[in-house]
Amino acid sequence: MTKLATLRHLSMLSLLAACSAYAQGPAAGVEVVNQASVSYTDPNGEDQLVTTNEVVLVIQQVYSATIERDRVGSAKPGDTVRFLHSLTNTGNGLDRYQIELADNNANGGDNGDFVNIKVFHDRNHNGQVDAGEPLLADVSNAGALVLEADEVASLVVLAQVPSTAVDGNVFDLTLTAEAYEGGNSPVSGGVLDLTAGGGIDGQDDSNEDRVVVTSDAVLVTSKSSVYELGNPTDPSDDAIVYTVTVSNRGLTDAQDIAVTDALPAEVVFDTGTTVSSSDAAAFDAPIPGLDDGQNGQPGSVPAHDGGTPGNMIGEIDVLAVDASVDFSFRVLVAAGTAAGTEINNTVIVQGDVDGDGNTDDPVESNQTVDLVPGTYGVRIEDTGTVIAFDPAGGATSPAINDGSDDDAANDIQFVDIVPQGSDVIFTNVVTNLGNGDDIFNLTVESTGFPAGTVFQFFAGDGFTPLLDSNSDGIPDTGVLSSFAVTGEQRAIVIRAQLPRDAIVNAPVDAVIRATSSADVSSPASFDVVTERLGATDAAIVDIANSDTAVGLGDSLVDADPATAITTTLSAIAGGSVVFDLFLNNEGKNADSYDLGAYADAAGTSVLPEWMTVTFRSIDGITISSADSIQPAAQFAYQAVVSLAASAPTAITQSIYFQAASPTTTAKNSKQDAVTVTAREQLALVTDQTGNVEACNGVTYRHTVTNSGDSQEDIVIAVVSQSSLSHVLLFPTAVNAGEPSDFKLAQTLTVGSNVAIFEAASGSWITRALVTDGASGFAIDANPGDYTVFDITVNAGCEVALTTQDQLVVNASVVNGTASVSNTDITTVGSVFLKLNKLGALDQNCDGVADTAFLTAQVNAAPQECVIWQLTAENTGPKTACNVQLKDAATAFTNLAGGSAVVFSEPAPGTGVCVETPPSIQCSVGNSIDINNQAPNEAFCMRPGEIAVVRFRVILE
Amino acid sequence: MQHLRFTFALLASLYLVAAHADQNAATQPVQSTMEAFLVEVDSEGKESLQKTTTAEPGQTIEWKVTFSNVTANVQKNLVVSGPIPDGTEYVAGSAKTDVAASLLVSVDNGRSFVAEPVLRDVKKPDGSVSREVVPAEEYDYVRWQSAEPLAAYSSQVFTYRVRVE
Repeated sequence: MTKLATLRHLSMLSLLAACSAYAQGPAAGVEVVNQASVSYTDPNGEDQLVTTNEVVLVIQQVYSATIERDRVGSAKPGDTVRFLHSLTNTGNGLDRYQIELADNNANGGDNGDFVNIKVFHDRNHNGQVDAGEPLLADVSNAGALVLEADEVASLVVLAQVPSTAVDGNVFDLTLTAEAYEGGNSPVSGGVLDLTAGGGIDGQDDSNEDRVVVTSDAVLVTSKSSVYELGNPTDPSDDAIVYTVTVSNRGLTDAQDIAVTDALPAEVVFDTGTTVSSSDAAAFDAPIPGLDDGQNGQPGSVPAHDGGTPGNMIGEIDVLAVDASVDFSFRVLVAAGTAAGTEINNTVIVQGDVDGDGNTDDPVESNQTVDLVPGTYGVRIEDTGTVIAFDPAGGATSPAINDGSDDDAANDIQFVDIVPQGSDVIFTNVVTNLGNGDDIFNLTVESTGFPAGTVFQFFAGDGFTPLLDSNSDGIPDTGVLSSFAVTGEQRAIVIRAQLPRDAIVNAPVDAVIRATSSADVSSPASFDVVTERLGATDAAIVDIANSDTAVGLGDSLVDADPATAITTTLSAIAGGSVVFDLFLNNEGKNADSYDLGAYADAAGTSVLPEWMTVTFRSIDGITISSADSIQPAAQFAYQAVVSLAASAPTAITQSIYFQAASPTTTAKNSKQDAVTVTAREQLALVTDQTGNVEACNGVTYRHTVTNSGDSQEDIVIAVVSQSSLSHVLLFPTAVNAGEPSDFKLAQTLTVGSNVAIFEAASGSWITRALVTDGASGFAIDANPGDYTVFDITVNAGCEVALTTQDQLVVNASVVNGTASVSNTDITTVGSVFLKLNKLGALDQNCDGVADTAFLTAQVNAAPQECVIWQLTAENTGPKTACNVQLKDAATAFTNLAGGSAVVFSEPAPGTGVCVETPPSIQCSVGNSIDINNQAPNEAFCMRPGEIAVVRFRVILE
Repeated sequence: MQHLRFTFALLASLYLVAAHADQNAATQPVQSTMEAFLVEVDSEGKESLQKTTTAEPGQTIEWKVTFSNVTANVQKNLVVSGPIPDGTEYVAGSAKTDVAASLLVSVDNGRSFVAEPVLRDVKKPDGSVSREVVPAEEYDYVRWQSAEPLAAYSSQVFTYRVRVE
């Protein structure tokens, strides 16, 4: 048997039967188990193995049997004749047979009945009815036999001829065996009659025997055997001693009786022994050395003819009436004879029984049956294949971990080195040293491998799992035939699945045991082999700021080590910086890494709350890990470090970027840093629009705020004006908590007081002006401080109606670059509408401002809202009609639908808003007949009236 | 039986193959199944397949192996191994698949795989050596080396037949 063992037996008793040469395939009840597998390469480049479910087929019983064969014998009157038959269960399971005898046969016409006929079960197959061997049936009583699959029952029929019989009489009998085939009653046709043509009756289920009464000699021969068991573990020294007896039960002498014993193929004549006989002289009698018969040859004690296996050949010169001779000889069981083998043998005698000088029909003895007992032994060993280097990798590359790696034939399968977290693949060779089929259980007897290592057993292909073929709870080799019989040896593969984080620096061993399951002795035969792993190649990862960093890609050198800062970038509070990062997998297996940023190299301290880090691929996609990085591959990514507006300034914060594998625990950190610089920022509100009549002026108030986080000296200057003139005024005093006493700028100098809202005290104060570094002055403002100033735009008396003036006022810092401007647009005419725009934050976008409408610049986060308020005031002396306020959502904002409303207007009010995203247009005021000519004009605002419009936008 | 074996594995050893029960768990990107079909031929020679869990000596069984990729990723380099269980013999020419794949067989219990026909040298009694074809009945495994990747959310099917001895 050479195939993978996937027969599962219900019990050990069925083992040998199931594994022997089947008459009808696998034994009934045996399970044929199958399981396929597939290996493939996953997207990570790693080889994977998947096995299917086990499929179990239960073998059903088939019924089959044979009986052989019709016999014809001679006998003298009154003698008892022996007829030998064999009934064989050739099915694949146990069956029951009904045995019957009848004193005739289908042809009828014999010369009468026997005195009696009986059939016995010849359990020891010696052709005799020995004491204790049961009577199965006689002419009046049927009997039964139960046979296992492949079991042979020898049947001896004894038939006594009437003493009144005369020469030439014939007496017939019929032996019937019918199979039950699992039922409650015997069925016809289930037992094949091996006699040609079905014998005398031409039917199955029966043999017919005939006795011919004679006055001649009647030769009868029988044969017995004794099995001599040698060393129980060595079948090659077993022997069988055969004894042959030849008798003349007739009424006259028999002559020239050739004795031929063809030795079976499973034995070899023991040349070290001699043929013995109780009466050797009887072979060459009555006159030794002479031919007392008629064939010209003197008799001889049987001797081996030298053939392989050869024959025992001898001759009896004369065998007198009622005389018997016997001889014995010894044979050895041939090497390689399998356990359970039946060694069958018969002897044939043939001589002249009627004195006519001719040789009459041969007479065959019973068949001896000797069963070769089982011996058990196993060897499990390393492959011994010396593969020092990977052939593909050259002389510096360790042998590849493919199951073939070994260093010497020393019962140790040695794998030099494997990547960390790999399956270590060991190949062993199992040899059945017994003489029969056996199944060897495979266990891990001891292991020094890292804790958590899982050992799995596979067939020689390395993919097909070895199953528990004999259902004893232990995986096994499957049925393995005897090496001595078939020369079979079986390779098995042991995969030691290392934990991904296990590192082996010194050799570790595991001992695998193969134990015979057929050997019922204790302890059962076994052998062990050692699986040894030399070391693991550690999983290594390295990160650096540059793909050319020294050591990146070199597993021995840590590029950009965490002990020193590699890159320092600067950012203001509220700003952000981007670090370029490159990750290299310097291990031997694909791996994935979590990306992190910490305040220390160990990764145990978190960064300050005001610092956040996100990672993104070079495609700009936010990532938190680098997945499935192949060995020697590089992954480029970036870290975006964002600083909260509240970040402290003028400090340098180290950041330890880390890549850590959650599976192999490979980890690497590098150190970079961010310096938080002061933020210069000014706010100036707001752009304004107004009207002025000739010979008059209009005043715009602006607020300038130090919205940065550092003290600044702020210079206010009108940098351009297109058509009209202006004056600039600053508050120089505080009255009732409000700025007051506005004075022309040109009247002020360094040291003059100016009113400032001091953020630190939350109140208006006066503070001396400081130099602007040139010839002018600047306002000394701490973070959060602000003040107001007025610009009065004057229109001369000669200026043309509709003239439009554009004035740009700028606020800038003396030391730095922060700068901000407003533009005031003034139109000369008779209508005086002044427009102002302010905003307020609405974080939850519920349409309710979270703050007052104080500034024209609102800071908001994505998905937060800002409510804009437009205020129109008729500052002129006349009523203005068709007043429309127009605006639009600015870049990166979207108009909140339905949010544009007329918040307030003069009563009763007819205002209405129309949204055309991103624009809005609101008409405000009332219907008034301003020229006393019907109809009324629409959307009119009288002098001094104010209308307010609001709309909301959402930040993208 | 499987349950008994699993229990033993838990009690007796950490090293046994109980883990196999989970190898085809839902988390595996490639799901696999194996089924057995009894091949019957009627009096007109028409063949039919009937899923079965039993068999009799002399009957022909078709093993059907299906591998399904349950992910959006492509799996490559598929190598499918199908054992010929003890007590059965491979039916010559019965290994089939619609997949572009090369068929290999093993006659040494999986130590090596070669394409058909499998040849071996036989030493005659006179000492001469002749080369003969190993009969299909002596195969131990069939194996397909698929030339087609297992595409996302797709399946590949392989079948082969054995005769119960």
